[in-house]
Amino acid sequence: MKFRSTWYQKNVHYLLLVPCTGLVLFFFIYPMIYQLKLSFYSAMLYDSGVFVGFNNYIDTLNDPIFRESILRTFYFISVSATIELIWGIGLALALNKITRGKRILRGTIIIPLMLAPVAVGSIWNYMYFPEGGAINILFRLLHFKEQVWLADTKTGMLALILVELWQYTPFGALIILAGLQTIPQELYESAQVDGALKRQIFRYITLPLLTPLFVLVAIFNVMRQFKTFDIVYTISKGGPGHSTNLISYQIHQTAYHFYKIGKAAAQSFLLLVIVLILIMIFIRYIRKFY
Amino acid sequence: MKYKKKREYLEILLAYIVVVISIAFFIFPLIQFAITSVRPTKYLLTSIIPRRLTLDNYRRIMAFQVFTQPLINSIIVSSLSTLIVVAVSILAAYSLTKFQYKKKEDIAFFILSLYMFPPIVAIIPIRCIAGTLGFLDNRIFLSATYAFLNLPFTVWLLRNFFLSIPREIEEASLIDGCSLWGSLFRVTLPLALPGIAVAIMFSFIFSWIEFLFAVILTETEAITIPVAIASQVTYFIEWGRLASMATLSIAPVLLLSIFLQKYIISGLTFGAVKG
Repeated sequence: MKFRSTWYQKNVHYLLLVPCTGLVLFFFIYPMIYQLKLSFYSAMLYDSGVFVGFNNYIDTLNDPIFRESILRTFYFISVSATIELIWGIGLALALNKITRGKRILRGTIIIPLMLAPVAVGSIWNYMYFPEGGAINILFRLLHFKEQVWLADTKTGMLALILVELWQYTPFGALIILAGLQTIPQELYESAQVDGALKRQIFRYITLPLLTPLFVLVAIFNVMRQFKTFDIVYTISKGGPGHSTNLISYQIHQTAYHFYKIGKAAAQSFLLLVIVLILIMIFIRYIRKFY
Repeated sequence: MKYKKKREYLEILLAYIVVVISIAFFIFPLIQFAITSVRPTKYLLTSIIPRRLTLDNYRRIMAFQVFTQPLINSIIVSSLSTLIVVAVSILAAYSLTKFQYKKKEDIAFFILSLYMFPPIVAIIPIRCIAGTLGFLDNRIFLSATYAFLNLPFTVWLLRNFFLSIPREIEEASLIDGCSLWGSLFRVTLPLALPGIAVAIMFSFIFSWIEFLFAVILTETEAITIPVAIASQVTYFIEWGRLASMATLSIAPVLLLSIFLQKYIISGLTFGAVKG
C-alpha cells in the first residue's frame, strides 16, 4: 500500500475532523468566550459599554421577570412533556393495533412535526381568534363559555401548551411505534405458548423493552422545549402580561427590545449553566442507549 | 372464548377511537388554514363555511416582493447550508466511525450535546461577531450558521449509518488497493446513500423552517420565509395573505414528508431506528 506520508497516515482521522472543528470553534466556542466577556460589560445594542463586574448577574438574579420566566419554562416543559409522552404512548399502541390504513395515518401524523413553527404559530393564532376562530366556534356549539384565549392571563399558557402538543406529540408516537415494531414476534408467541395473559405480556415484555425509548423521547422533548421561541413570537409575544414569556423569548426581549446586550449575555450564561447540568445528566443516559 | 373475542373487539374499537380523534386534532387546523388561503378575505370572519373560492391571495403574494425575495433567499440559504453541512459531516462521521483513537467517543458525544443547547445562548455573541465582520443580512453567513446548527444532527445521523456498514467490506477495498478516499467515495458513501438522503432532507428542512437566527441575523436583503411570515403577525392580521404565505412555505415540506415517510422515522431517531 502506498501512502503519501506516514504523518498524513497517522493523523488523517484528525484531519477529517478539521472542517467540523472549525465550525464548532467559530460558531460555538468563540461566541461563548465572547459572551462571557460581554456579560461583564454594560453593553447596549450599539454601545459596547464599560466594565461593570458582576452587576449584570446580580441584576438578573434580582429581576423577578427573569426568575419567573425560568419557573414558567419549567412549568411549560413539565406539563407538555408529560402529556406528550402519555399521548404518544397511547397513540403508538393504538396505531400498532389497527390494521387498515396504517401507512397513511402514520404519514398524516408526521406532517405537524415537519412544519415551520412560525407557520404553526400562525395557524393556531387563527384557531384561537376570538371572533370566528375555530376553537370558539366549537365552544359555542358545545355551549361552553367562549374565551379570549390569547388575551387572558389564565388561558394564555394553556393555549401555548396546546400548540406544543399539537406539533410534537407525533414525535414520541412515531418513535415508540417504530420501537414496538422492532420487538421480535417470537417473544410474544413464546409467552402465549407459556400461557401468559395479554395484560402480563404487556407488563413483562412490551413495557420493559420500550422503557429506554420512553426516556429517550422524554429527553428529546425536554431539550427541544427549552428552545421554544418561534411559537411564543407568533402567538402571544410573551403576553398577556408575562404569562407566556418563556426563557428564550425573555432573553430575546432583553437583548433586542430593551437593547440590554450585557444583561442578556448574563442571562444566556445562566441559562447555559442550567442546560449544561441537564445535558450532563441526559448524555450519561443516552451513552448507555446508543 | 366468546368473552375474549368481545374484549379483542373492544380493544380494536378503542384503538380506532384514539387514532381518529388524534388525527382529526392534528389535521384539522392545517386544512382549515389551507382553505382560508383560498377564501376571499372579507367573508373570513363572518362564516366558517367557505362559499366562494379564489386564488387572489396567491396571485397577490407572488407579485409581492416582500414574499418573492424571501422565497428565493430561503431556497439559496437552505441549499447552500445543506451542501456545507453534509460535506463537513461526511468527513467527521467517517473519522468517528472508521478509525480507532482515544477520545473518539467523547468527541462524538460532545457533538451530540451541542444539539441540545438552546440556540438563544449563542445568538447574542454571534450577532455581535457578524456585526463586526460586516456579515449582518448576508445569505452566505446565514448559511454557514445553519450549517453549524445542523452539524450535530447530521454527524450523528451519518455516524449511525456508517456504523451499520460492515467493517469487512471497507477493509477488503483497502486491501484490494483502494486509497482511503477511494474507499470512502466508492464503498462507504454508496452504501450509506439512504443516510445521506435523510441528512440532506433534514438539514434542508431545518434550514427552511429556522426562525430565531434568521430574524436576528437578517434585516432586509437576506430575510427568509419564516421571517416574512412572522412579520405578517401584527396587531391587525390579514389572514388571507398570512394563510397563503404559510401554506406555500408548508407545501414542499408536506410533499417530502408524504413521499419519504420511511426516511423521516430514521431521521427523527438520528438513524438509530431505520424506519
